[in-house]
Amino acid sequence: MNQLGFWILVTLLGFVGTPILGLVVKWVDRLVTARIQWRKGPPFYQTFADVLKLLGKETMASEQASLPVFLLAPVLGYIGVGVAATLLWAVAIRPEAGFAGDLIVVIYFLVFPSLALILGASASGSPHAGLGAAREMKLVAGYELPFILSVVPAILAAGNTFNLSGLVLAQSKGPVLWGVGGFMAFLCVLAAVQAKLGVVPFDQAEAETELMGGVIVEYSGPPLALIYVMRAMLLLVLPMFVITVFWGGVQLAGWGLALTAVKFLVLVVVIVLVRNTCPRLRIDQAMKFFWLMVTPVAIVACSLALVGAYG
Amino acid sequence: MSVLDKLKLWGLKKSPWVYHVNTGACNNCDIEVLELLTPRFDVERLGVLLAPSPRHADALLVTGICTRQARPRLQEIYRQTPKPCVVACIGACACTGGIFHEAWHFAGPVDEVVREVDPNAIIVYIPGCPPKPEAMISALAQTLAKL
Amino acid sequence: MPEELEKVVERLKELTGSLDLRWRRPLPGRVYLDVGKERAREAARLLFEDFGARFATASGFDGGDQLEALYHFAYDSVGLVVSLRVRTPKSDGTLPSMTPVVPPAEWIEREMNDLLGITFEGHPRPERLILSDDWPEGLHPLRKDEKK
Repeated sequence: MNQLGFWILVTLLGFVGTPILGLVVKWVDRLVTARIQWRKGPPFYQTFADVLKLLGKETMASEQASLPVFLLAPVLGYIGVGVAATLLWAVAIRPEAGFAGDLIVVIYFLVFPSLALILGASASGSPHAGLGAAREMKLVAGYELPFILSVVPAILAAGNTFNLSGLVLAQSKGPVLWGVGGFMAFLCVLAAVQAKLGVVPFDQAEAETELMGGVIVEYSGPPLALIYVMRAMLLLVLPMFVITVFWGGVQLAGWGLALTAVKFLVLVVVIVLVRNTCPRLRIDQAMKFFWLMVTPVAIVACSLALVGAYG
Repeated sequence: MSVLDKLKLWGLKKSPWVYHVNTGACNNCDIEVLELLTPRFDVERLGVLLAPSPRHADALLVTGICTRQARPRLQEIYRQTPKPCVVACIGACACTGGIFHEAWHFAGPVDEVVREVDPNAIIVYIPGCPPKPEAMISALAQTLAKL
Repeated sequence: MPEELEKVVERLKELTGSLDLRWRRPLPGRVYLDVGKERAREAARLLFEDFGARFATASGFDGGDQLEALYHFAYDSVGLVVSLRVRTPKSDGTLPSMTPVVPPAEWIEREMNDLLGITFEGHPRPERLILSDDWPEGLHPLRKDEKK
């Protein structure tokens, strides 16, 4: 397959395949949640029904909303996740694909969903949404730093390369999380992923019972469907990112595929278990958690990795 | 009906998100609605989720007689719910006013209040004082089948 | 226990002896004190502070030509409830407010004002409480002579 064909395939995978797979993963989330609560849970097509139903409803906006930003914000989030997914699929299918610095590009585009929610909520014209946006901004300020710091051990272990393909190839002699520093960084990135997904204990921005939906309170119909799909895509992309950087890379051939599926399920189940057992933190508790616990652990992990790489 | 419309209707039938509105109830029906959403009855099998905002809702679960104070507010909430939506009058008070029909603060049973805003509103009546969650599930299933 | 109850009732009798009020005791644990408007606030203060009873609630009643307010004070350790009854003719319709001496009475007096039209003199915040914002002034739903 030539270069252009490869990139078209991967873009389709990123923008069309990821939503579909993401909705299936979201169903897995709801199923595990249900089983933890000793009940049966929704049928497998539930998430698709949710999206179709939302597409059929009318879109409403408050009079005080700033319409262009309000309606384009979900599109921005979707594009962000789509690009990150495209790059990750590219490295998964052909490990030597990718370009210099694409790790940074992926991290950059993964900020877009939270940014889109903040923009959309601020443009909603509702005090609940404004409060949700303020909380989301504080949360992003909390988790972005440890998220970026915890990628450093992986970079160091792969010999200072910023390419995703370099990281994957370097893990052929052992995933990053098998090292002490790497494992600590893996834990930090899991905490950051939980916050990026906006799930309990870090769902202060959407706080259902407190803020009536917070950032998404004014969304309805197709824009809400797009946000729903964006969140489902994140549920697929973020574990893929974690596996690519820390756990040996996403492999799509033979036994590697089964192993990757198992790793992926383990990550998703851990996220869901934490979601179902922890209460929601207050925003100041969440920020303290990220600044005073996760960031120092990430710094220690970087130091250990530095010692391991150069010491 | 085009294929896309059929798909959207299928989605609506399989995924009704509910928003609970109390327009002056004694809370008995509200407790039963709360019980409906607990793991024991597992309405998530039908796709029912509690929506945090009326903008996300497909069904409004209205309890209580509509008091004078609540009347304009219920109408505003109905306007804020994107159509197509269903209004479920839960309990004898929401259906007809119940024992408070002659009360000084009664401002019309819920269906009249909603029909004032939208004469074509889809309204479901679930009588009882309070109706059992099983009755509510049965009503929901029948409504979805008829949509 | 009955003997403790009797001791408590004795103490109440001593405390309220100085005020001129009618004493009725239909049941062992129920005491009704009828007091005039002038001494009502003092009686309430006596029950709330000196006697040490808990202010439970208040009820209003439209007795045809008289409006009355009953303030119920509970002495929980022995199960005694003391009700202080204050009356006013309907033509007058004002009662002294207990809120300055019994702060928890603030909202229940506002409710009695809304529903029965009793005006409480000395109430710190005599605003509408439970009638809806667009309810007409002067229409009091629980008065017996009001027909909708």
